Amino acid sequence: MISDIISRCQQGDREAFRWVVETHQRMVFSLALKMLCDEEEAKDMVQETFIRVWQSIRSYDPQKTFSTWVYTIASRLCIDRLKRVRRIVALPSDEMALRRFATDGDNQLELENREWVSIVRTIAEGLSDKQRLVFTLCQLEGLSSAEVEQITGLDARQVKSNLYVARQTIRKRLTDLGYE
Amino acid sequence: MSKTDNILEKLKAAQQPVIDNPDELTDLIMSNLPEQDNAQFTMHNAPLGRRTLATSGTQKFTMLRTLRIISSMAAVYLVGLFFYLQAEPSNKAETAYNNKVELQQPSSQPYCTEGTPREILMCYLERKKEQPSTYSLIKQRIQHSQMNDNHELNKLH
Repeated sequence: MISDIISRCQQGDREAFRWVVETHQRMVFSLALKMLCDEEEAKDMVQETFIRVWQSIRSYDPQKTFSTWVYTIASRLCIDRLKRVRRIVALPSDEMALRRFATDGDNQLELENREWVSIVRTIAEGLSDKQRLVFTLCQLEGLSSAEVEQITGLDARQVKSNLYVARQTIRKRLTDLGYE
Repeated sequence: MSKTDNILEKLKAAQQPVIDNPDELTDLIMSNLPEQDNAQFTMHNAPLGRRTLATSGTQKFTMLRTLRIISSMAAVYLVGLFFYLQAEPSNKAETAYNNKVELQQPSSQPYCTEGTPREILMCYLERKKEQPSTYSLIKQRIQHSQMNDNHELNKLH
């Protein structure tokens, strides 16, 4: 079914593309929010991603999973945006959100967007762009290593080492904040 | 399980971020869609490790970087040349007090004009090296004439 819709998009069918946007925009928004830690920036990123998807959908290789391809475009744009914006720094109020989240006994907690922003901003402070991307895809989005390799273009060893360094940095950060 | 692992696991299980008004965002995207082009493998659909085709932006960036490298190398070369030329007169000043050094006449060929730019530069540097500076030349000539005068006076006495 998805292949039919994509081939319609490749022929310029805007209604088919609307379906693509509706089904994938939340996924892109989630990645962009965690990467950029700003809701408005994340919405801009969703728009920019789907415009790129529309422009280059004719070059989409059906051998790849479509969502992985969309993730690839979104990741690339997020990294480019991160290079332009100032370094993401945690605010004093962010720690309160993390403390509330860490002490809550509920394991399937509902988090608002601003809470996501506060928590990610606190724990991921000090990560490089690449570490942030690998950490977000593997740990927060729950993608497999193979998918992350495909999205980032890194090999298995690089993904593993970036994830390891990211986790160590986060562990140290949380220790400094008194969580160990 | 450590607290860090616990927090990370809870984050994975927590409700993912949601768009507050998804339909509005969809409409906005659809209304801003440009015409489809034949863009192939561009910077933004290429993964991090596999950027093959460069966009005009990348080409500009590469060109700027190349220019920067060339200008840095030229600057280093010129600074080196400056110090090299600055070091020369002091050597000449030392030799000016050495009476054993013979006065060197300027070369009959005043300018280096033939050959490649590198050869011209090397020729110029060689000439510069051979020629004592004007100040030391005058000083040597004064010393020479004083010695001659003394000699004449001694003869008269």
